[in-house]
Amino acid sequence: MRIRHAAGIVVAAVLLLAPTLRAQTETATQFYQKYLAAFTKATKVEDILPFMAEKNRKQAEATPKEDREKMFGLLKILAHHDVKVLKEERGADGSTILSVTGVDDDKKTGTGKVTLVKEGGAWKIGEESWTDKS
Amino acid sequence: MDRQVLTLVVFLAQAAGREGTVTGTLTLDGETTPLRHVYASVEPGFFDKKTEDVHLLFSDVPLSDDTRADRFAMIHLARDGKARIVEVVIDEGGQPIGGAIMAKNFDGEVSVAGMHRLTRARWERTVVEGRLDMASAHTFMGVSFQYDARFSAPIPRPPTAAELKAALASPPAAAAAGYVAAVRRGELAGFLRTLTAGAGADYQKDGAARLRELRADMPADTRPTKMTPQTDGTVLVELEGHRPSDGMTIGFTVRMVEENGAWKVGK
Repeated sequence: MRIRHAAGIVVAAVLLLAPTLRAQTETATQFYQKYLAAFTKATKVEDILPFMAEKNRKQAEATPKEDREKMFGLLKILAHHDVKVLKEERGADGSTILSVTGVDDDKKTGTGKVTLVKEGGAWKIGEESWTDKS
Repeated sequence: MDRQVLTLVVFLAQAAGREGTVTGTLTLDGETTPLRHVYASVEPGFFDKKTEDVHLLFSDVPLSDDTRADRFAMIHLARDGKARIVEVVIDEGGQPIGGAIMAKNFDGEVSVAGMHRLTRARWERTVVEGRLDMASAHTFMGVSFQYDARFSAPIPRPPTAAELKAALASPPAAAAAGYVAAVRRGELAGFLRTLTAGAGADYQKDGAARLRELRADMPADTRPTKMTPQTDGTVLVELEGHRPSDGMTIGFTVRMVEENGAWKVGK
């Protein structure tokens, strides 16, 4: 009985620690892929806010709802598909820049840079910029 | 001179030298302006793409990389009276085949050809030196113009495979490789010896833990792949390795600083 109780505590402790451990070991690439999946399913900007760095999140939250919807619509139009991460570049400030490539709605291949920052031990999207190859 | 040191010197000269040195003047309607800045670059030949033309830009004010890459930006500067620029294009045979003058007097830019005289002193893959001038003043759009410039300008180029190999064996790159080895060993005192005093100070607190973190993040096959000398004398060395779990390329950039005669990783 005592053993079972102790085991229960260990299981609970492992369950409590697991999210933290996962966050620590998640690579920048894995986080960005998770974000891309969420972005694909997202129907409103609020769906992707948890992935954003605090300054971006605050900026979005401070934007009037109507403008926020337009902004999100624009993001969807400009989004790239079949995104592949080519490289993770560590920054001196603890950020990581992902070199990415993808295809837009016009089937044009583009390259991009995504800056990820760590906030509270978890990756967040700092900046994202894309350039279409002509 | 040691070949590796020579390579580094060439790299440093190229970095500094996106800009060269020039003494000369541009005279427009009798008003003379000193030409203080010169930039050289190469482009596929105008008449034969298999050859290279050298483009020389002389200016009275510094021109940033972005400005030089954007002709309209230069024309706007000239039109606004903020810059006076002489451009001369020289073909692979050493003949000036065209050029332009950008100045407010011309409301921006005029193309000028047929009057440029080049006297070559040194004409090599990575540096051009000589004199460009006009035998006499010419007039166009009612504006008389004449220039005379003695110059030495490096031509920034990506390194050849041999140059890159030599550069990666140069003292800053070797020191960067030493830094990687120290990270891989994971021993704090040895690691701190690869850092400048300033960078090392950042490891005063939680140094061992931070080194463990860095070691865990840096793939075992990390090595220097590229170096870019900076105009302040430091050298940026790019390091690359591959994360075993997914093969992802992981890049790091370290700034190498010469401190007390030794290259170390700085801030």
